Amino acid sequence: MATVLLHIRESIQTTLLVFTTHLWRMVRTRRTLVMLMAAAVPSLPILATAGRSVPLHAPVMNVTWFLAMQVMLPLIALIGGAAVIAEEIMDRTITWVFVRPVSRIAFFTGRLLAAQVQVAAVVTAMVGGLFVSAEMTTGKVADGPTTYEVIAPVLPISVLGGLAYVTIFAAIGAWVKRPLAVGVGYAFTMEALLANLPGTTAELSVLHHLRSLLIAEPTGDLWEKLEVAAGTLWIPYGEAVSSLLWTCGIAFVLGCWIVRRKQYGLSV
Amino acid sequence: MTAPRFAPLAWAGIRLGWKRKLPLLLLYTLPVGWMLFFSAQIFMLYGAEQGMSEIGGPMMRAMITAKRIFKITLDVKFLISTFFLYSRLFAVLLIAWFGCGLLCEDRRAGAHVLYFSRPLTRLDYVLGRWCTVFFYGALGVIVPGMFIVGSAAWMSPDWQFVRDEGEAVWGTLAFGFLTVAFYSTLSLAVSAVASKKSFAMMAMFALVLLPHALSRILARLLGERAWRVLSPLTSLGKVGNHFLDVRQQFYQWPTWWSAASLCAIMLVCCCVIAVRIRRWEVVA
Amino acid sequence: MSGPIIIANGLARWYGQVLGLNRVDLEIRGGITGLIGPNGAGKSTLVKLVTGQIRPSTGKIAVLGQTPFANRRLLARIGYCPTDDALYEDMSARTFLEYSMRLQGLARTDARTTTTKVLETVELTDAADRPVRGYSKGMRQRVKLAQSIAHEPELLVADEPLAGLDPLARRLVGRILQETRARGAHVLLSSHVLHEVEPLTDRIVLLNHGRILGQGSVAEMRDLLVHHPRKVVVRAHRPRALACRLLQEEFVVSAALDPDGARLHVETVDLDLFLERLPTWVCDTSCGVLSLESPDASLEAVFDYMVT
Repeated sequence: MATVLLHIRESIQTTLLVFTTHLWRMVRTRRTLVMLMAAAVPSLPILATAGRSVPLHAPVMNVTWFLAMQVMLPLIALIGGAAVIAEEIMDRTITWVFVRPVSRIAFFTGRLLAAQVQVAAVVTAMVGGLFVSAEMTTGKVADGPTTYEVIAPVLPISVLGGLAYVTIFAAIGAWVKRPLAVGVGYAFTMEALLANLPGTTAELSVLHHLRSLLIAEPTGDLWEKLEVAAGTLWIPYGEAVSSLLWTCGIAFVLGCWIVRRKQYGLSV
Repeated sequence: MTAPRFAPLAWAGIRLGWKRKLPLLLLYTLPVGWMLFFSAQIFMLYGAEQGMSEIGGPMMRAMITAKRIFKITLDVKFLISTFFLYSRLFAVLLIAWFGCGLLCEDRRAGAHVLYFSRPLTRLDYVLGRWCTVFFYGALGVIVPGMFIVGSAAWMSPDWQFVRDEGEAVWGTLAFGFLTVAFYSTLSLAVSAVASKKSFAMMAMFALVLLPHALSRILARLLGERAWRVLSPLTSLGKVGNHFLDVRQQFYQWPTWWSAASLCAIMLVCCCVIAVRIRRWEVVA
Repeated sequence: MSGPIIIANGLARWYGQVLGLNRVDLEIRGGITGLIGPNGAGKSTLVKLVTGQIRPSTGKIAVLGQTPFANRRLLARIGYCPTDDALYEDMSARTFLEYSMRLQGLARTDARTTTTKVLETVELTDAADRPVRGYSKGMRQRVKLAQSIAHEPELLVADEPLAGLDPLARRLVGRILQETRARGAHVLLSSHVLHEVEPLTDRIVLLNHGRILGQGSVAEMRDLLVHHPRKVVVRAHRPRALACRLLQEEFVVSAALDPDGARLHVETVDLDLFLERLPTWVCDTSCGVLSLESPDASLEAVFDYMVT
């Protein structure tokens, strides 16, 4: 029992050490800059509509639905998530960790947590940018929801989606040689295909869960008007959240299993 | 008559891509699936049209009934257009997979120095690489398209489809060729700029999806569908459907706008490739 | 530890269709052991197997009595200096070493103390707080070596630690390896810089095409060449006269002059007898020997012979 507790304590210490060391490193990389630039993109079309005669909240809702959720969120998560193990493999620095007496799972967990914090921060900045740009262009009206009421639910949903995507991409990164390439294929081909299929097949995609969460919000009827596809079956809020958390958990366990077993020094 | 100088380079690229079986399997599963799905649809519809209940079993009998009840009409050109619509993102993916690494990996490995020290011009080099990616793109786009057309020709009584709608064959070929040629050029352009295949793939998807999303948003906000001409995905569909002579009620802007948009993008891509490759030689 | 530190039985490793190691049976005892072989011989594969980075395709390997793959208890007793010039470029040497020591299981203060000490050992104290990306090749090599010896491992595995170093840095690395050995640790040193390894190693293991060609001390390896004519180069005032005399002996296989006629290249099947009788022949012929060397005595010759 004492050995098990000691083992757990060591693993937690390693996780925290890896987390703190790599979070600080990740913040200062060019990757973070690219992620921030990607996060700024959705704000640009909203700002571009300033002074034009457009329906209330239409810019921010269209941009959130079509650009932020479907393109930028997976992209930001991909850039952050694929780097978890793949960056160490590509830079060949993984050797420094795996020849040390550390738990591989603790290392993976530490790096994944760092990537999740990084992505959550960038996604928050993206949603914050949406809010600020919408406030600058739309202003307040007497009736109908305020910009805050429209945007506020987007933040937790985006962060949750970001965490799910990061965990999936981290597991992919632990498994394949080119996680960015495979991740691009997954995020923009498989997800796009599955999310737009009629019936319950769409439930296989993260994107459909995120859309369902938005639809389940008090402002859901406004969001629903954006989705023109007939026969879409939305998932209830609680079920969507638990599905996304399960996705995170399964991807994490899968990633741990791969990292624990895989041989990373495979060049002759 | 000797083979063009870029042919060995193209052939070498094709052989290299052929060696990796798992990506081939994964990337071509869906196009082949769609191909079989649409061919089966054509088979059933033609069969139902001819009342072939005895050879098709219960499935065919159900199709004949459904055809009578819902008055389903067989429009092969529309099915081909739908095939291209459904497989368009997979076309991007498979062309990106095979094309995005070609130039940047050569540069990283220093292989371009070896190529340019041979009697191979820059144009030969780019053509060789372009042919490689075109080949794999064609396998996933043109071949399935032609297979569907072939199914229609073969299933139609007395080659009726070829006699009545022969232009669909050329339309399919042109649609497929345009799609593959466009994405092949785009993939080489991003590959010439990016330092790694992964970055090039991300850039290619960004160049395809960002304009698509932005044009969609602009079209909605400004109430003008013509904004969607900025999306290569939509423009390819518009021009391709023009080749197939399929009506498009949503995209009501002149076809030449889309053609001009695609030509402009391809021109920019060619310029990027030319500039980058010229710089390589200086570095080499 | 008196027994073997590394035992391999039928050890093989494939990378797809490429063979890294081919059914190797091996016992490596204490001290400094040189792992010698040309590029692609399987040295790095063996090193990766020893340090538990990869698993064998077939066969078994035991290091300090344990199976190495992802074995944390064993890895705590090993230090590894890889051949890859891959460091966390944005970190300083001090941060990297502290991070490595924390991963090794040391407390923060202990990690700091150990880092300061090892930075002094590898003579990097002055540059310790600069990012690694600005380091020279030699400095980077010293950082790699520092992280491998800082926790005073029982077994130090160094993959090509001398590659690309200037003479001063090489001397420093040599000194560090000797010190490591002096404190009772074992060293497995992989290299193809033969003449540099020779003075450092107690025993060598020769590898080529994934197979062990031979193992033992340099002298033992040389004795493997019983049936191979040994070379002797003699510089003399009258080399022709000496050549005529030498060719009368049965154990002299050949004697050839340099194009400029200054040096005589002799091949003999019995080097000891040759050296014993040489003074007599020199006196007989009055040829005035200026120098005498036997290139075959070096590890390089053993290596050339075994590999070719």
